[in-house]
Amino acid sequence: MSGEKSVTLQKSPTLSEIIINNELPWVQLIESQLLDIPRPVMPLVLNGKRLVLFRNDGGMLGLIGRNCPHRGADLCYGRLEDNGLRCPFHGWHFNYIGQCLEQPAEPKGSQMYKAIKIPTIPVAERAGIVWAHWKERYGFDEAVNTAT
Amino acid sequence: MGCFNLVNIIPIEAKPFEDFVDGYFPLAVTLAHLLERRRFESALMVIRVAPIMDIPNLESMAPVPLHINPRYSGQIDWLVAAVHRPQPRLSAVISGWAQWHWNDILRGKVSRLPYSLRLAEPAYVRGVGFYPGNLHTCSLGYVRPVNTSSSVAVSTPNANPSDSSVNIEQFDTAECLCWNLNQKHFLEWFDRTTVQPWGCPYTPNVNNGSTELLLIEQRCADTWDAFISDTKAFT
Amino acid sequence: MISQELNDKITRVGSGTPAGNLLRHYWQPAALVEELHASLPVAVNLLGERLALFRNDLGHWVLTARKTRSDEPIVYYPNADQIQILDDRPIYPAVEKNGVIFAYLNDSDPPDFPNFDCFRADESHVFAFKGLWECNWLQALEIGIDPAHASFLHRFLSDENAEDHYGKQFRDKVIQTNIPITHVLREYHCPEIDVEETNYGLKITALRHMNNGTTHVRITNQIFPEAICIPLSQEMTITQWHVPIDDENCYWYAMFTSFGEPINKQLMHAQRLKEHELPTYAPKKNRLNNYGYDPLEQKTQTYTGMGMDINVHDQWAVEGMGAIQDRTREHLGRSDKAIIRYRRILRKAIKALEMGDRTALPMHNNDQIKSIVGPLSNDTIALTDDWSGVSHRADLKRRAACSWDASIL
Repeated sequence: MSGEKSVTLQKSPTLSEIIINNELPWVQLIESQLLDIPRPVMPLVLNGKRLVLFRNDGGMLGLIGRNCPHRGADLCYGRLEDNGLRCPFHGWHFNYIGQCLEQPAEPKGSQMYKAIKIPTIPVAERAGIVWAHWKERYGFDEAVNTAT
Repeated sequence: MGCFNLVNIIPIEAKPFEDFVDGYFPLAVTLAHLLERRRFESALMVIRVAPIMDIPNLESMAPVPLHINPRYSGQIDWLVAAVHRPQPRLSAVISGWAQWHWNDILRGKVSRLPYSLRLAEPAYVRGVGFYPGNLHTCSLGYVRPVNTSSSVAVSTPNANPSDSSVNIEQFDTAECLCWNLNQKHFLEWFDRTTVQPWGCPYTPNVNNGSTELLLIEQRCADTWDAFISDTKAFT
Repeated sequence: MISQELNDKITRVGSGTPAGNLLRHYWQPAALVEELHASLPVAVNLLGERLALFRNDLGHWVLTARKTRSDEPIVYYPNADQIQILDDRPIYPAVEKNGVIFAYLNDSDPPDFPNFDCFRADESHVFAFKGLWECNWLQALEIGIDPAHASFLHRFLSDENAEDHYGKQFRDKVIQTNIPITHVLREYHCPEIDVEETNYGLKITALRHMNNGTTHVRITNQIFPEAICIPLSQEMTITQWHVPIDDENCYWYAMFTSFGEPINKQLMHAQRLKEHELPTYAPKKNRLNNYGYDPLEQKTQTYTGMGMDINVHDQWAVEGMGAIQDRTREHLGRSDKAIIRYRRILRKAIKALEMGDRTALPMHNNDQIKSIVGPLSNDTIALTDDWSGVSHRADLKRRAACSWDASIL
């Protein structure tokens, strides 16, 4: 990452979309320190997949698809709370591997959340760098979901 | 009334309902959730115009793909089914008739819906639910007979003809709609190659009582009308 | 999830498309009367068509096609002298209703207007405004028939002073109580939703059962094909159309209708001009400035971090879905039941038109259309055991006290 880009990110974390094209099994994303901000959530496009990278309360990093599977709202504006990311449209709550854990507006006893998982790419941090395990991506439809 | 084996017509407790069911899980799981929620033993229900999917090799409670694929998607135009959950927490057993199409035209030729069928989104359902009791039926499980009058009755080969508490007088064939719940379709499949007079006013050539029938009085309250007309929507 | 084919069918509005054909069987808001103060004709982009609005020789409003440059932006307001009318194209009728020009983009005879409150209230009691959303009309409509989202998207983490509520959504107190609606929405986020098909569309009841034995009852409506009617405050309702400019842009047209005092139009107008640019009526907060998103505000004040104007929240939600929401990847829940019921009516109506049967469309029987009144649209509090009927009684009371004829007998 260039120093210039990191400055932009800190100024306005939601505006800057990082775009990376690299189909190696492991892809270097950003320096970990870029996430040392009050709300560590950032949009990212990796090989055409529109994603959101976030750090949960426990420090785990999640790299998941950017549109809420419910009605497509943009999760980059999600509420970072309860150890995951929550969609501001209806409060659907996702953990760092994209599994839906709560749908608070659904009728009591609903089990639908179990069927909902956002596409995800495993992430690791080594020596201050965030890496994505592109080869192990899960749940993407290869034909679509590209950046526009 | 002459065409029925009258001793076998038993009024049962029944409740018309309309509801929404979740999609995404296999239909048998989805409908079991509905029965559980409404505390029904079984139900006769209609779904009209609902997107469906049949995803190969997906476990029943696993997350579904995020994107519907033309290879495995389609639409139910009309489905009428008897749904029964044999035991708590089990999937429902479904039998009935349907009209549908798959987006994959090669698949369109198949005359059965697979057991792995799923709704691709929640669906609006109309139906009649039956409460648990001790009257054994083939398609509706153990339902609850009523001593007082009811707008709904079953005629089943397994009914106890000596049950003197049953009031059969209210049923007049001219004023009843009759559904055939013949158990030969009682499979994990829908089969449209053998459409029966289902959802149509009863025609008096049904045999002597070996066929399981469900009767609904035509005079009953308005809430039934939409359900009855939905069941007749087969074209 | 629905197929791409079906999504195209219910979203695209150009001439000859299934949904476009359906919308061309209903009166469409085409302009605000306040836009006509400049000289005529006025450019109107509607249902993918580039039109001009003017008065014909008889003094009636009409629309017809105008000459278009290929590089013309989709939201475009040229001066009258730059508009060149094409004389060989169909001429569509238009009428003025309480501050809004409605157009009928079809050769067939237009249906009558139903007797909705926004049409029959005195002009002093109706205020009209519009706003641009850069997305398909259907997703814009569907957020309006989703009673659950208000408890999340429009959640205020604390309750604002309700004295400053005039002309704003969800800021009033609940009728006959001291409870701010913001409180009810926040604390009771899982409403029981009931949807009923009516002769105008859908009646949607959201019940929020509160822990003091009472229930908040909010009644909203879908008016077929692309409008909603919802309460704004104790004395006002909003009837709002989501009108396609083309497949990927739409205007909301709102008719605020008061059952109480005449509307303070200057104040309502000033409130909204603060948030919109003229002549496009484009919101000042938009995708380019992240809708004013502020992470700190999201943490402490609002659910979205996008300020107090709920229109911005809705705009973010629907524009963020993409120009046309990709419904091959949506996952509706049971709380979306009004959307599901609505799409059934929509598909049925599209099918009826494909079969050539206009009479099967909602509100197309002129013998009955004038008897379509209301619709009932209010917030009330009732005993949880006995909520049914309370909304209706409150509605009758409000109508009885109304200065214009609001009777629904």
